[in-house]
Amino acid sequence: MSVVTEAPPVDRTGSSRRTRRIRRIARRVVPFGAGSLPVLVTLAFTGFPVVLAVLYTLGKTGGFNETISRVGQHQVQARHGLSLGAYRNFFASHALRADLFITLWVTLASTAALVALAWMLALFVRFSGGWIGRLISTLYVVPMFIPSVIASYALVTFWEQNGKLAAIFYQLGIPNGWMPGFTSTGVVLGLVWTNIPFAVILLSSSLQGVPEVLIEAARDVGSSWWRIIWSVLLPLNRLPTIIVIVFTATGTLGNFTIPDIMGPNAPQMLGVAMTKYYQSYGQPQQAEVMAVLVFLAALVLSAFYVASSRADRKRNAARGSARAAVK
Amino acid sequence: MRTSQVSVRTKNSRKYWLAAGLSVATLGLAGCGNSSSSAGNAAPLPTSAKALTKAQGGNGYPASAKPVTITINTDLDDPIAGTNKRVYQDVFVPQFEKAYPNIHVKVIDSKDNSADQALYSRIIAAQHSHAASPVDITDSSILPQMIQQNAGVKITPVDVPLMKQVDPTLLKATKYLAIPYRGSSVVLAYNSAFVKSPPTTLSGLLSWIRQHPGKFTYNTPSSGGSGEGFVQAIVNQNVPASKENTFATGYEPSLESYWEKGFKTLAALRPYIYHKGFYPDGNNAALQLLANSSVWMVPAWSDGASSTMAQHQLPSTVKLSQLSPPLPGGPADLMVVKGSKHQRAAFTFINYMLSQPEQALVADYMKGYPGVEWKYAPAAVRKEFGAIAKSYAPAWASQFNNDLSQKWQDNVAAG
Repeated sequence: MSVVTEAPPVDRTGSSRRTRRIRRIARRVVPFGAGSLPVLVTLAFTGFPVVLAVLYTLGKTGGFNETISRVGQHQVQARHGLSLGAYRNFFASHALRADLFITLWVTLASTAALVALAWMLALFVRFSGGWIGRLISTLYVVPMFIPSVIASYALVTFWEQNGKLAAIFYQLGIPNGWMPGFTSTGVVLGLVWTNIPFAVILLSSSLQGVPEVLIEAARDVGSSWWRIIWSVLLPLNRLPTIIVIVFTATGTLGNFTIPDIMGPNAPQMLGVAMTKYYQSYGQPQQAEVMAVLVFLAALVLSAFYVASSRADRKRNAARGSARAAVK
Repeated sequence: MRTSQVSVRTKNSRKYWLAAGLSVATLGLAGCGNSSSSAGNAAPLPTSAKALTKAQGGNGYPASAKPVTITINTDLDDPIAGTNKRVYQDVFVPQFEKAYPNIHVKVIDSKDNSADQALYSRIIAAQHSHAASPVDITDSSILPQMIQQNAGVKITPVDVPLMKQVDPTLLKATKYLAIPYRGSSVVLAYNSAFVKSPPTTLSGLLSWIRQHPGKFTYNTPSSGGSGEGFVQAIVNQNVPASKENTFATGYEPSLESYWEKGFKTLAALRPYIYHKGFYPDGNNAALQLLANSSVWMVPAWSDGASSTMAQHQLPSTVKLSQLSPPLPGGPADLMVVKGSKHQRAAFTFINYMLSQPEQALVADYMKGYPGVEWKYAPAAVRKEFGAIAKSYAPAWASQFNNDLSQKWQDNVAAG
């Protein structure tokens, strides 16, 4: 910009200096421009609708939100400024509060269960040789190749009141045994099942990267297995574990397929509830309130991820410089 | 991938039944009214199209006019199980195009609710900007909203002469913006191996449910019209007769306070429902529980249950019966969309859908009640539906149904 406003130089040296300067600026601006293209596209097609949706939940029903508000029922309209009425309505409903609670509970329970199970499987794959280890390392990827719709139908059919599991219980003399079909616990199990491949692949590949020497050294000084996991393997696999936690928890918060097919009539996870409010109850505003709440929860998780990966990088850098100092 | 599942769960139940598989068994439909040939085969018209139009004194699309293409969107064009025929593309439309060779009908398949809603937004946006409508005729889940928005062209006997044969209360409910071409109602499907004499009234049904714990269930109202119909019938008990019609014609949220008692009844019924309160997701899921004898009785759509029975997907002991007063039902309507550039051709299509040849196809392929009043239906159709060939109450306005589903979720499922 400043180039254009400059007075045109007269002599040849000045002119060449100018071209050099333009080139230098172009070198800086062009990559930025090319890089900013996807950013602009994202802003236009994702950022803008997100802003509109948030404004809609705050009672702004005019302007670009006019079409959607024309078809919505039970909307809160802000006469002037913004209104938190739609959010108040959400928290006033005991059914929706239960939905929010179950969403957080399922997310917490399934993520915790997944991390524990994935660690066990990854350790098993890393340290047990032989055919069992190979078999396990083949089996755990299977859920990745089964679409979650099909998997959840299969699981819930197996678990429902007339399913195979009930038949087995009946044969064992437990005619009214507890069934995970159409319960929130069933949803947790289904989520763990579908998320296992991603978690184990990530953890086991980073476990493979732990040098054998470290484990040998720990064993030489008489450390127990538990001690080795806690003091050697866990610190070295902190970041992959955090990635597993954040990614599965974020995916679970807004999950629809599994809770919709496998979950109970009530309480529903918010992914299901917001679809119902949008499609069946004609209340897009309330659905978007739920979307904003899920988004906020995911925001907390991603902040946790960013903070811990930054801490990890800092620690690695410190370790690197310490090593250099020793040398 | 997920969206196709969603379509199965929409409140609008008709498409659901098609997904469940419509019967093509030509159930003893030997003749169809005036026409002597079987309905399953392309029946020759009783009279030529021109003569038909002339005789009715209508405003039909002239045979000499230049060829035109009209577009119809429908959510029920899934292939019919067994034949791969699509109801519109392969059954209704070919019959029509034979009669009116200069009108070509393009069928848009609104496969699921979200596609339907997107189309609805486009139609409304087009009307607000006075642009040409993306479709000329609609027969899909958006109809109640379209009626609410006055997005249809008013139907007159000049445009649709056969309108005279349609039940006037059903027309009034659509504000004359849409016309029913077929109907169905919620009935009781029961297994006669266990139930000797089914209840005949709603209070009889309620006490039957309490006497047989775990042997009755209904699908969630948002997942299909049969459960919705049952819930409607219960909450409707406490609505004053003078207000009943308002539910079909308008939207007054204050009327919903009459529902409270009904929801209390339903919540109290919960311990007696299958598995102490398990409500299946969809019309078909409820029928499956009936099929494997988990329950003995469920509310079901007349057309859906009939075609499932014709395919022998239910035990032979399953029978249908209707309560008195009947459980609610619903017509399926056709609407000419405001902003359509080919209104005359579109009305010609709608009128033709009410004619005897198409009405016989409706009964034959969809197990649907006729859109015209029973007395105008082909004789074979009247005979086939026998005991359940009764009128049905008009469908509620979509907003009431939306609120009903949400209140049921809050008060009964989560109550």
